[in-house]
Amino acid sequence: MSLSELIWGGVGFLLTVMVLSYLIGDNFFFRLAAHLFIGLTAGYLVVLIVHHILYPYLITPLATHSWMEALWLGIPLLLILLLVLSQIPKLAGLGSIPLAFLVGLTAAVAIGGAVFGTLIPQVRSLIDAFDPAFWYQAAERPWLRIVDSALMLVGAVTTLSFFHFGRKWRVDKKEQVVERPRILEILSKVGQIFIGITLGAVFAGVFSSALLALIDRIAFIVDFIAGLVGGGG
Amino acid sequence: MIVICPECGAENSLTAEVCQECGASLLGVIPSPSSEPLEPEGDDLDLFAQDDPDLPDLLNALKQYEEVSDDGGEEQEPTPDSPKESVKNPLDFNAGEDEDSIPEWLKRIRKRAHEEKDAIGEITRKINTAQERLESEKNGNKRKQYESYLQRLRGQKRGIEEQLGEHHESSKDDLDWLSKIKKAEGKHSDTYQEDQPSIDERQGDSLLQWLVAVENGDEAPEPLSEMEEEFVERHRGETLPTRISSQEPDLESTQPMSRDELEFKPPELSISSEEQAQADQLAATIVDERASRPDRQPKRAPLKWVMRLVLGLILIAGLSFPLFIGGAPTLPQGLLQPQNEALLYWAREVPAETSLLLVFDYSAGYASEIALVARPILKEAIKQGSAITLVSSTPSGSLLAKRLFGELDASAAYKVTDYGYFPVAAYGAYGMASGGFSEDALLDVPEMGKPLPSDGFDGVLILSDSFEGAQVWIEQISSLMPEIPLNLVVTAQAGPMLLPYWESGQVNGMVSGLSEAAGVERALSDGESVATRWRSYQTGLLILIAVLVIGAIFNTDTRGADRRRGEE
Repeated sequence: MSLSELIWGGVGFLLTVMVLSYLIGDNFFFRLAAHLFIGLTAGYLVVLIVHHILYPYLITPLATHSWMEALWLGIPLLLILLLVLSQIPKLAGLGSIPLAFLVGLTAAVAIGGAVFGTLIPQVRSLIDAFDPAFWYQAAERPWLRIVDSALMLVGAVTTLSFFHFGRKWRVDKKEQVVERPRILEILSKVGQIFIGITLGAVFAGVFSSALLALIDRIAFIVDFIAGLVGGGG
Repeated sequence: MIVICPECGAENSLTAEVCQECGASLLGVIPSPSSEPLEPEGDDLDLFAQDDPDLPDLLNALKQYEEVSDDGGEEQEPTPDSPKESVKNPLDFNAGEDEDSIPEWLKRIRKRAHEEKDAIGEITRKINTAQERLESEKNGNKRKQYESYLQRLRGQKRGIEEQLGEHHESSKDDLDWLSKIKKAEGKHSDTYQEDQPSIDERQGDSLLQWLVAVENGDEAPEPLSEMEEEFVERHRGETLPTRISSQEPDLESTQPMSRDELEFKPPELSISSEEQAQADQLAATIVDERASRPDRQPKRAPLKWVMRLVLGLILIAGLSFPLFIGGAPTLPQGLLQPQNEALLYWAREVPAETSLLLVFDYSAGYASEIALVARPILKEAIKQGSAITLVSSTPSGSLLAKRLFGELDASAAYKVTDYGYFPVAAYGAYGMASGGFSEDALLDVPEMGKPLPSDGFDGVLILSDSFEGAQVWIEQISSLMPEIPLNLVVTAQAGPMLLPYWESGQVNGMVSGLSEAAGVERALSDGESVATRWRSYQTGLLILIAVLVIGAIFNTDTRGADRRRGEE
């Protein structure tokens, strides 16, 4: 074990033990580790943004390209300036321009991706699941595919019904009733079962990932101690 | 309505053309309303109902009362709300009258009288003489009235004291609230007066207890505080309450009260049945508040602390022993899923000198899990002369990529181009999927960063620890570059939500979590990284399930206990 490995291994060992000390409740060592983590992350992020984004994509082109080409960089430069000026209370309104630009662009990209990357392909997949050619694609147990397709359809419809928030309209009295239509109530009850199973699976996955992280940390601690006791072997 | 003579001020009837006193012409004189004094509105002399019932106000109210009595003949008591103008002497020139309400003729007369002493007419002299006489008579009457009023007050006070004294002696035990408070003090009512502490010794005593002391008649007035002393010194001779000097002939003359006179005089106590009921309730509350209660020690807090520590140590021990004792187990069969097989097939079939895009979308906490899953896949996929492009949508992505490639130990030579960190994953995914900056960019925009492969990518591999992070990349790449095979290497927590993308064909293949990684490792027969952790992983899952079940049982019991406590 080299000196560098010993030092950084020791730091990692101490920080791991400090985080695990939360087992006995919130304490100084746990808070110290948490603050250290937050502070280091923030500092690293600032350096990363300056070094990997601002410098290569803004400062270098401004310095090396012609002024006609660099003119395009005036737009992000202006947006940055407005965002910085918004920190002054009297000029807080200026920050809404870059934020509006950012939110609008994000929404446009995200909505486009959601529609063409999730909604349409998933609906098409659900429709294709009822293609008889798909059922008999595999030679054995075609009924299993039929059941699988039916379950997918029921799951999709009932889950969407659970998130339906319409109200009943009583035509004869021309008034809205607070409760949903009866059929939607029944479908949403079934949808709750599918949502529960999905969330259960996600919960189990979170547990599994956390458990693996803990196993990795224990293995690291034992390896470090074994390395110290074994004289760096 | 009357007509007032502009020359002498005499009152004449409305029809008179000349003054009946001086004979002056009354033509053109505007009639005035009758000068009869207004009746006071109130019937009772409610002196103590005033906001600030100090002695000067009391005397003023009494003065008004007497003036009304003098004018009206019949004794009527003014209320605090009755206007002062209603009892004002009409002959008093110096009274604070409203200038607008004074008739023009009267102003002229007054002005003339002030400017020319000799010009005072006979009537004016008579008025002044009558006024002086009236003042002296009134002073005498006022003194008599004050004296009789004070005598009446003293008589009432003596009567109340006698009644209270008789009541106190005859029915001393009937004062329940008094005896309760005395009992709360730990003394019997009979012996209460003997060893009663002074008011200074009893810290936190309530107003009720002070009233009790006053009722017993043995409580000395409380000395003035420093602030009160300051106030008295500052306002001495200015606005302090004044007293009536009985030696002075002029009853309205006042002089400041001395400090001794300012000392607090305990009020006389008369308690109605309603007040006594309230006092009884207050006394019961005081007794209840001062009653000693057993100290409740929080018993569950240390238990929770110990339980947490014990369970944590059991979990760590349970994970540690399988990790280092008994060697690596053989991985079970049947762990490989269809989506895993699809990914393995793609990794094996990737040709040499291909261009791969690797997206690092996981944080350092999940690095070990991603490394366990991704390492065998990358070893299969990276061939001789591969061009690998790295993109990170987490700040630590570049560092984690370096670590992963450092552990890869691939024998083939390959080229890595790191595009670094994309702060907004959606923009990064959109930019990458739409061809990057170099191809579709506007002509005059400077080329930013490194150019993307001109022929596009032969495959994309997303390494992610969250559903949302992977979803952004899947949506953009599958919609903008549907022909490029997209593969996922994700953690167990992201896997279940991403599976529909494999079902729909948007994702070519995927591996998630340790169990699927175990299947891949077994299929590839490559290393024991997963196998060494497999038994520990299973033990940990067993412990977690047991803790969840036990916790659910205890939690249900706690809820039941809380409900029962609430019902009680």
